[in-house]
Amino acid sequence: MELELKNITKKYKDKEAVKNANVTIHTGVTGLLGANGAGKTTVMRMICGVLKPTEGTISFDGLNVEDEMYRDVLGYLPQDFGYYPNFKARDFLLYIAALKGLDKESAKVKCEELLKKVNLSDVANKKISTFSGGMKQRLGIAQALINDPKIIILDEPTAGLDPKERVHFRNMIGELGKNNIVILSTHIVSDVEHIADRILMMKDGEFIYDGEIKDINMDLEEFYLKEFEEA
Amino acid sequence: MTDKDIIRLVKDTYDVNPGVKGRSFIREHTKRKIHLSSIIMMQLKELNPLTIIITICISFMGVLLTFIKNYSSSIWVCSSIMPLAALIITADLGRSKRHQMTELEMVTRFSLRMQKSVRIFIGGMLGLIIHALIIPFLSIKSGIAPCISVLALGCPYLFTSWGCMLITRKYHNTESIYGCTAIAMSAAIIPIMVKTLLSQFNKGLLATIGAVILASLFVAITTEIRKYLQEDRNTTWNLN
Repeated sequence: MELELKNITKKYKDKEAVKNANVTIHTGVTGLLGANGAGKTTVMRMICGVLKPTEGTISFDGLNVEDEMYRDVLGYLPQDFGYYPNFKARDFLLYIAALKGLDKESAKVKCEELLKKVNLSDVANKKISTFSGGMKQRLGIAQALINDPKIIILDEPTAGLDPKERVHFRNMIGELGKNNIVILSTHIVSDVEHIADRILMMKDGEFIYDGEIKDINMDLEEFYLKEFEEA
Repeated sequence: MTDKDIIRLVKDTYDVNPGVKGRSFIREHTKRKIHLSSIIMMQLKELNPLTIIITICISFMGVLLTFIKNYSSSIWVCSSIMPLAALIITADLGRSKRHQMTELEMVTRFSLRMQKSVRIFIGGMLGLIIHALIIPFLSIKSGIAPCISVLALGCPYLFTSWGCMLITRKYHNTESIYGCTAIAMSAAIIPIMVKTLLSQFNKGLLATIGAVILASLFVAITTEIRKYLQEDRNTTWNLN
């Protein structure tokens, strides 16, 4: 599997949020590192087809992002997401499953499986409005996985998670990365250090580093700062 | 760099992916079959219960008013309550944005545009049901010509729908609902003004003006629906 970003540029009026990005992402976990405002979310949104690039193309094994079949294999956790006020955790997952085209039976099975996976089975019938930030984030992760996606895009997935949840989440992502393309954006270096196979660093809309994590022979935090200073 | 290198570089940069791998992917991937009816049902299920309750109440109230004997003002009272129905129905159209569900709904099988279209269809049907219930009763019980009822009920309804859609498209915050309420209240006053004008002006002239306004509102709302459906791509998001 191959996700290809070719000459991607995104302009917002006079601001260039992403500048001529070229990158090919393969199966495994890819960490997108960068400071706030570096362009990570814009890249993520373009990969999901939520934002249209000003220039360039994005394709998955030759399939254009605008194709509905592409959306069938996509799982996305946005940085900020909401829910309808009347939704309970289970309703929310079933709603997303229905929108993603899952039939009722498989949606129910998948929903229970994911609620268990993210430790929300006990509160499945409680309103989301009563959930803590971490619980909402776990529910967000569950909805991203409901259609067994091949491409999983997670924008700041660890935000709001406590240390225990973070470890659990890292293991889950590591498992998913074995057979899928997982891209996670964060500005927390340790998150990427433990789960990513490959690192992409962004600064001012440009990729300033692209490499395997095993090739970095120093502390990732130090390497990250060094790359940022040099760029 | 030789010409050959430049040609190759340009080809690599600008050539569209041949899609060979895409075809093999499509062969392997079984597309889940979903019918349009399932998305209509899904959106109906997610419709705010308050919208349905108020729609039923307004229809019931409208019909009830026509049963009051010798009550010549029933058409104007019905006309005054139509903006409320329009307000409730239109408010439901912007629920994705209001509850930050837009991004999640955009990356599903059905595009957000498709979902919005279905919501407009449902909203339109609800509006149509209200009109279709009240107009015949006004005609039978109060003896008002159906075309006059269409003008009297349709104008405030369409004006409110258009105004509310415009405001919710331009202003994404929850406070936009205040603007919508103000529009609905203004539209509710219009029938009272028209009733006063009726005694001073020629009825035929007022009906012609009403028809022109109704036609203009149809054009305005069609344009607004088109804009509403187009806004789901290229939004400026957090860089606003």
